[in-house]
Amino acid sequence: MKLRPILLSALCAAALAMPVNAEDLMIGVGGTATSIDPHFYNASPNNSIAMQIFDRLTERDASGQLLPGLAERWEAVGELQWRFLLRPDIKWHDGEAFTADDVVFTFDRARDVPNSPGGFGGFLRAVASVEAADDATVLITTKAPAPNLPGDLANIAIVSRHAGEGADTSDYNSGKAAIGTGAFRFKEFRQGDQITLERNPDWWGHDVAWDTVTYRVISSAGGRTTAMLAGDVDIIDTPAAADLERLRSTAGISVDSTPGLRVIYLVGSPLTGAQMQFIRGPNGEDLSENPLADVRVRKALSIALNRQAIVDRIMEGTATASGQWLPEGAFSYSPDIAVPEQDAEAAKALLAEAGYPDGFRLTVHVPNDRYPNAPAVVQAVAQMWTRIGVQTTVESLPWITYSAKMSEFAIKLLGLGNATFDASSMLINVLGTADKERGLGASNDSGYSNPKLDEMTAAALSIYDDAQREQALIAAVKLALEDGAILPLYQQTNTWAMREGLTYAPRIDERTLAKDIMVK
Amino acid sequence: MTLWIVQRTLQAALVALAMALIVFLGLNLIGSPIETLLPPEATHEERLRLIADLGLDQPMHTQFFLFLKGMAQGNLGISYVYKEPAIELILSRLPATLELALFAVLLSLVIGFPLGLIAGYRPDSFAAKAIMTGSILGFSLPIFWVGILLIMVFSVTLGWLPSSGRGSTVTILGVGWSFLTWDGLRHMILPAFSLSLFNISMVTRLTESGVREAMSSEYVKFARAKGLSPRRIMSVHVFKNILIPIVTVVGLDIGTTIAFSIVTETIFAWPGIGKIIIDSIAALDRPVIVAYLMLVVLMFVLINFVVDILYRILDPRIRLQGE
Amino acid sequence: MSNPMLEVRNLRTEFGSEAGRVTVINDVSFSLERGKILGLVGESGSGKSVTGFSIMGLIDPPGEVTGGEILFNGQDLRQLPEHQMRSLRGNRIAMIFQDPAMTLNPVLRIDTQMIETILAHETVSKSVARDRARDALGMVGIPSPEERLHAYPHQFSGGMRQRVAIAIALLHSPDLLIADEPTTALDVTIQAQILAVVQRLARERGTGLIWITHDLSVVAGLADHVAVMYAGRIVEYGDVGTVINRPRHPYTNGLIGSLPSNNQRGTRLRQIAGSTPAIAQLPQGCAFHPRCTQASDACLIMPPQTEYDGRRLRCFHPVTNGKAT
Repeated sequence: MKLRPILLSALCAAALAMPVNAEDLMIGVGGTATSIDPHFYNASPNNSIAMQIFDRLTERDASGQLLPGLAERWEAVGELQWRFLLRPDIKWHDGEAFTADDVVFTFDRARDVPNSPGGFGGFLRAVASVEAADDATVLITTKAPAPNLPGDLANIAIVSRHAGEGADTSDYNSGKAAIGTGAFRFKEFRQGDQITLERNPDWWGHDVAWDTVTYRVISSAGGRTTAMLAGDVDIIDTPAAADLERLRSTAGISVDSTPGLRVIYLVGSPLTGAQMQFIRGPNGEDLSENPLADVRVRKALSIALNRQAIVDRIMEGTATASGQWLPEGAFSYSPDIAVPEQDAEAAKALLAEAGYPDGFRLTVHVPNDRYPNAPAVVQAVAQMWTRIGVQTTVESLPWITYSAKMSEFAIKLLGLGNATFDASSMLINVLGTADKERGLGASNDSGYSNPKLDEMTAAALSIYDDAQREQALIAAVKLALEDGAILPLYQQTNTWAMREGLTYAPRIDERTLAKDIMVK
Repeated sequence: MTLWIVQRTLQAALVALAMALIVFLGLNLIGSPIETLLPPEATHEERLRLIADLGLDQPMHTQFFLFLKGMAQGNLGISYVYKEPAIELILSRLPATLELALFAVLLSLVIGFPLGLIAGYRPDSFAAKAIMTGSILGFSLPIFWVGILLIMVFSVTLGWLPSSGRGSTVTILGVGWSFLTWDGLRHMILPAFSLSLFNISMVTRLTESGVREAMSSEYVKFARAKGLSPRRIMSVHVFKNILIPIVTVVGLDIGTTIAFSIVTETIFAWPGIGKIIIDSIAALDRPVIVAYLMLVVLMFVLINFVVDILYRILDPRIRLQGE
Repeated sequence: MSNPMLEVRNLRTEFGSEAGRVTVINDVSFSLERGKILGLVGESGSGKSVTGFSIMGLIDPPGEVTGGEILFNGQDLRQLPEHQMRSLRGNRIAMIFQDPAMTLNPVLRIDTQMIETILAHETVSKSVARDRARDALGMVGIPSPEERLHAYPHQFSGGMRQRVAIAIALLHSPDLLIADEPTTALDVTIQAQILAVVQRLARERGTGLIWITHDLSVVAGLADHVAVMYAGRIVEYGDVGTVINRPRHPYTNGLIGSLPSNNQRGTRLRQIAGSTPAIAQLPQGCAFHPRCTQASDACLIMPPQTEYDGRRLRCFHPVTNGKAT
């Protein structure tokens, strides 16, 4: 007799406890997040996860525009300070209040995570000191004018002092320290297998469609496609170019893409050291000078290429031919830098003018396991160069060997993911004259050095006015391109395939963010 | 007997050590993990700091000595990529590979053995010819092709089985095993089958030739002359004799299956050690590579040991000679 | 001979191959009474083992018994379906082979191999079967039979193994025991022991014994009758004393003449000239005639079996006291 009311109320309670929107999302991703620690490793898969659990002072939307994050507003105070005003009433996943002190703690910590491959130090390089003016205000003092700081801070996930103090990477992986302010809470981390997150109902951001999200690692592209076709996952990233046709034409699956930030380019070395073993005269003789040191030769090599053909036939539409290193719409992209047209005759004329009427022999290097279709692309490039008289052979190596010997190559293919969302990362890291103290040229192993370019870059990066800074950066880009500093080939297209009924704005930074996957 | 065990253990230790040395030196020649690990935006300081953190600024012999010292304390190093102890990383993934490999071997016995018996008993029958031809296919078809084909048929088209991943697990002795759940089994069937295809063919052919040889042996003739039923002859006389080569080969095969489940694990996104080792090799994550190889050595030694013991149990001639 | 236990008439066994069919034994006829011993003598390839297997019904494809009758207690074995034949084997007709190391299954214990034979033809309890096995071992002269039951074949010597095989063969007191060269693989001294055991047991139980061998001297001391085979046919068949002391077939004569005991010490062993033809390439007519000192054109036709001088003979020119007719 007493049972009935008890059962009834139990049922009611169960019904009420049922979330209105009991949806689970299964995402198939190709890259493995190596840790939950958001400062451990600056790589796309890790960042995708970190961006769900943790928030940043500023955020980027799908097209790279800077948005308010944990900071509602920010303003430059003079040339050497930034003030960030924090959003009120934000709670950590464990209920504690978020304050400016957590930001101070984060900046200290992010720079230096022991034993980690890291990669976040660069964003904080300009920071001299951080202080919490009050609970809701953060004051950052920079060593030199740093107009790009808000953009850089879009990379630094904010962690709490109370959970993060004394915690190391394994504490994050176990979930103990994985306390963030983000749209999702940490649930489970099965390394290399899958990561499960559950919705944070107290999140300050937009409505999130999912109660549970699982990021499942399926590293083979074929496997992702079949998982999508079988309905085992709701959305996948980076489907193989060969599968796009099939995915597009399957009922119940839609495909969406955007040209991304990642640029694939060729970079030659003007040095006459070990490089000379890869450059010889037309009959194999030794050369006393490096042809690649001559800008006319570099220009010739660039206009010998038919970038559109490469994009159409080898990349099968998963790339966009490029004459610079940013996709349309990005900050400091310039619409009047065109994709160089192929002109073999002009190329030959340039070579002759530079003193190489009979061309020369060249070896071009490419990593065979890092960028999709890269070896095939370089084969095509080699053919195009051979037609203008530069007899080119291709050397294809696995990344672990390639990366160790990169500084010895004459000309090589590389990609750049671009963490600054503008032209500066290329200008500073790849094209900047190597200077450890000033932190320039960290990835410059070709030996390219253009003091004028360095000046222009430094100057551009101290302009606080956005419009002016953009123009200054574009001017630097144009100078670099005219000097043939690099030969951009194409921007990789970022593609997602999802089940009909879902929508996800394709991001130029390749990240897959569950909080932005919506139901139509 | 004890002496034999001690001998084998010492041998294993020597092999493991030699393996570690070769890997150390070899990996050093191939390239540097630093370039693979560091993001392109990394600063000079970050690069230097990482090199120091990983101990890669020390000379090779110091590094090797430190490694040995750590090994004596049960520590095989910290993974460069995951920053977890290499041993833990591997051991946490080992159960997944173990259960896949063992399931595959089980399949190969359950399917291959009866097929081989049928083929060997009546070698001129249509069934025998069909089975032997089929076994050639099992050898020749590449695993990755078979795997994807199976996924296309059973997951995509028919929708009966999941296309990838491992199912739910039940924790026993602190380790999660998925074969104890229906969901786990559903996930395991396709990868185990494609992994076992080669083994099925091998067991089939091994059994078939063993049966044929046994059937034409004198003791089978004698058994027939005694008037024993064909069932008795097959199930007792022939069976016990062919068990010996099969156990030996299958035993060794377990080791190979475990060590080379890499392709299957990649296609089916099975979270075992195969995938970890591929990733580690690509990243030159030396601690993990070394730890993995040591584990492989240990495994092979153990398996050989068990096979030897089984051999002694099955073949009485060996047993008594040894003593 | 009225109602012999075994009567083989015109037995013919062929083996088929790519090259065509080969007749391995042809027109073989003999009989055996209970308790008697027949020696079947011939060189390797003469068809003597095939004869034994043919009687047992153990000729496997590509071989086949294609002609004649095998009357066992009046029943033609060739007409029997396999399951009935199986119930006879090991039960009423038994066989032991040449190499006991190969005939006993090396991975099974002796008691297993003996008990299964008993249980294959009789429904008794395992312990009863075990007791019988033990007694059988004792009967063939194996010491400590109780412990030996637990042993494996490789723990026995060659002679012991053959005794075990004999014990197994005699478990059901068969009417007929076919022994296919059982002592060839054994030491000469052991040979004599085995011979003695078999002879004794056969006499005691009234078992008919066919002793297949290439060694005529063994037959001389053992058998009641002897049949000499050459190239798949029986060339001489009769009472052992008759055939051995007064051979009439040139081949038999040559065999006996070549026995060391019949030769003088210090002189060359007498040999039969030439060599045995391959069974697939037999000469026309009498298979022996190319080697025969008595051969003539008449021998180009196969001589029929005839009664001659108290035996059955297949020859146009029998030998008489060392001289041809």
